[in-house]
Amino acid sequence: MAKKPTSPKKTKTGAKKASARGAGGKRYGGGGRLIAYMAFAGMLFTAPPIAALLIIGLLPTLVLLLADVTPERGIRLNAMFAFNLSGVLPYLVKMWEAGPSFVLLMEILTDLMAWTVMLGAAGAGAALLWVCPVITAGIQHYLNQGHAERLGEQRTAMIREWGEGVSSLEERPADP
Amino acid sequence: MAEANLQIRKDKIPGPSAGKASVESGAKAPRSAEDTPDEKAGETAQDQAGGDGQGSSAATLLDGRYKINLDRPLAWLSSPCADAYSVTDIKDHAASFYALIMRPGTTHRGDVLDALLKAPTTSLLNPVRKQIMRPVPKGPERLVIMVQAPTGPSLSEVAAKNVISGHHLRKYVIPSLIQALSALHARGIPHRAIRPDNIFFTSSGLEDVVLGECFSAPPAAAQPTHFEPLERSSADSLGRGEGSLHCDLYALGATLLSCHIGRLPDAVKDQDKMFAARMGQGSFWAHAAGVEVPGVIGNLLRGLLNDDQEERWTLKEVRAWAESTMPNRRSVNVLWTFARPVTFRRISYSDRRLLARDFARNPLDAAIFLRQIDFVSWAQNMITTELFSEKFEKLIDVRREGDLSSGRHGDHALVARACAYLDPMGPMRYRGMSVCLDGIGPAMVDAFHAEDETRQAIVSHIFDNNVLPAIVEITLDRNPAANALQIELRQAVDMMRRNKGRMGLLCILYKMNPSLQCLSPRLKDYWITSPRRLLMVLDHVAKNSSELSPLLDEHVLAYFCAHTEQAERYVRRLDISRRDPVQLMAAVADLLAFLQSKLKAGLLVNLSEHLVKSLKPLANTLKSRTRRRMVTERLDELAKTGDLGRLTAIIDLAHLKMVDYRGFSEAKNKVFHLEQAMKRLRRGVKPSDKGARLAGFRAASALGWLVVLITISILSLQAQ
Repeated sequence: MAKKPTSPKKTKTGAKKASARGAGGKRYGGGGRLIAYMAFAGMLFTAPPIAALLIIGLLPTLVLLLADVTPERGIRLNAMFAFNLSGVLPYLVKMWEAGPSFVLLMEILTDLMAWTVMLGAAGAGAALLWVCPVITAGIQHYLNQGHAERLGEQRTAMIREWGEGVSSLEERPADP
Repeated sequence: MAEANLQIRKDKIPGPSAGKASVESGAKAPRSAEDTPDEKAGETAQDQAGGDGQGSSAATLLDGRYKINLDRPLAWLSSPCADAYSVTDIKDHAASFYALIMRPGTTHRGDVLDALLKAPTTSLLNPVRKQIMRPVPKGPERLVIMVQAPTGPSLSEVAAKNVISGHHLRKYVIPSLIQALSALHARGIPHRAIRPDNIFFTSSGLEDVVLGECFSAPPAAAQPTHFEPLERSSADSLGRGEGSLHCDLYALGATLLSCHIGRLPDAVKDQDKMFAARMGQGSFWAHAAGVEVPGVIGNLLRGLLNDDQEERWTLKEVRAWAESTMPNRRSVNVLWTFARPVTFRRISYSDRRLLARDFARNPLDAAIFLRQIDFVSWAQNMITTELFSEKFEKLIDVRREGDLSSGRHGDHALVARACAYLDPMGPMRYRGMSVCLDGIGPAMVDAFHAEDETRQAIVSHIFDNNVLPAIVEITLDRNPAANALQIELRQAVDMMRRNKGRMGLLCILYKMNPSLQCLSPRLKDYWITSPRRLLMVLDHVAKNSSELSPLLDEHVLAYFCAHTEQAERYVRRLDISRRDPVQLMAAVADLLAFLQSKLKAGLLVNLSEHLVKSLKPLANTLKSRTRRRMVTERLDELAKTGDLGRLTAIIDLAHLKMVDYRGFSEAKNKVFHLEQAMKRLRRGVKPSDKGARLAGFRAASALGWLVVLITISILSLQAQ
């Protein structure tokens, strides 16, 4: 049986799916995202002020969700969401303990401190997303130098045994 | 005293007492050489000569007691291949010998010499000793044969003064000769040198006679042409072959007749006319030249000089004749005449053999003649005494279209085949060469000795261009020599085909001449007649030679091929490895190791050191330092042992080289990958690199969730 040719539509879907995956190939979201959406929908009906606080507080994450098209979008979103959530969580707990009400929501939204905490946490996340690759690149570079030195020692031993002719970056040895 | 005996010839006054004593003392001569094989003799000589080619004054002393007087040559006792000199026995002055010093590049009848050394025969000048030695101090080695000296005049000397009467021949000469020939023929040895100047009276009383030596030259080499039976008389002097016992009887008849009528061999000036006369009238009448030989001696001579080998008297009949019993005379067979005369080059021929001889002398005209006639019909009409079968038609293969090649090989081969058909008992005739099938070996030696490249090329054609196999097939049923030699000749042809060109020719040269010394120019100072001695001489010469390969020249290799079973495959391997030094040295080492083991040559220290010296630079081309060091150390250890078998078993350089090459290729691959990895690792990591970015984002994500956990923990604590 001949295989059916892949349609362009299917390919597009595939690309979309690929973009939902992390750089390491791990898929972020999926079932978890569905639960989150359902919880959010449930909360929208049962506790609309909390849902509104979440929408407003997690605005940086939502922006990233819509704007980021890089291959590492999933992991970046994950990091941003974590930081953003840690900024929103205190106010969410406060609203939960006091009982969800729009009055309290307005109180929080008019509090500059609240904005500073929620957006500051998101900012810290964004900052770390910028700084961490620099730091990991530095660490990797350091580790690579050690590895290269060990390989260099192996190469020197081989040259000592087989002579200079054994080292040639350009030409590959011919088959005997 | 011994010298005096030999001087008798010069003075022509033989001393009776001295002569008799001489031959008798010769019989009692020391026989220390009886069981001395050639190579043993050679080794002894080597020891005597100081081993390093340095001669000494003692070198001219054979066996420590026989002084060879090089200033006193005995020309009349020399043969085509050996010079005779007088000998003084410094211990026993009564003994009388002369020395034959073999000339380099010549061959002799080694089998006959060994047989006579082992068991001398009566009424013959027997060899008493042979030794390879340096007759001239610091000179080259030669084979020296001590022979009993003649003690009386030769038949030719006596006959030159007065013809020998039939009575004298019958009473004194013939009985002695019958005795000598009976002893020789009983052992299957034809003398092949019976002529008036090689039969000697034992005393000046001119009674008993002895036959001269018959081993210092190829068979019949010095015989006058007309002393050879018709079928062999048109062969070249060194290509007459050993023939059969019948040849001796013919020569005996010719000798007796020439002495009886006083017509010695020198009297025949025109051999062509003599040959034609023998063809036309029969050999007896041609030899007698019109002189009537009546009586019983006439009967004997007619019987002995019968041209038909089957009709010729045998020794048994001669013996019966000597005892006054008259054997029946037989009729002359006319097998060789054409039904009608054949005209070739405006000459009419009625004898097939004569036409064959003139065909061979004018091969290109003969080829035209053969192509013009309808050969099959011609042969059937002209030769009615035998059936011209389809086999002959195919073998002779006369085609109408001419040979267009520049060398006209086809024409020459055609004429050779036609000659073989016309004269199957005669010699093989090709491009001016005329040799009996059993005389090809000595004829080849002559071609090499004379450095005659044309003749060498002709011999090469004979073996390589299917000339010889065709001639053997044509003559097989009618020539006993072809029948007896067919296997040997086919082996020689096969050998030539296996070893192409000059190498093949040299292999055949040594194969067909077992007594021939190795003719290598590098070993010209040595007389080498066995492969074992050759190997030992090579070991000796290697000491002073800078390189090993030149020593193993074509002659040396061919000699080993011819005389050592299975050496041929090692030599062929060496031949095909010449372009690759490693393969070549491996092949040389294998050959020498094989020879050392096969010939039981003992330890060959010099060759071993030379081999190691040659192998070391090749070992240094090994890429692996560890392997190189290991091989060099092993070579140094093995150099002194002289055991080539062990050397080749441990150091198989060709295999090592292959393993080394593989190892080097693998190492090169590995280093390539290492260098690529190092290059990649040393290039530096940028934050924008995919790996670094991903790791950074993961770290950030982990930190984020850590912060979430901390926040939840703090909030939980506050709630409590």
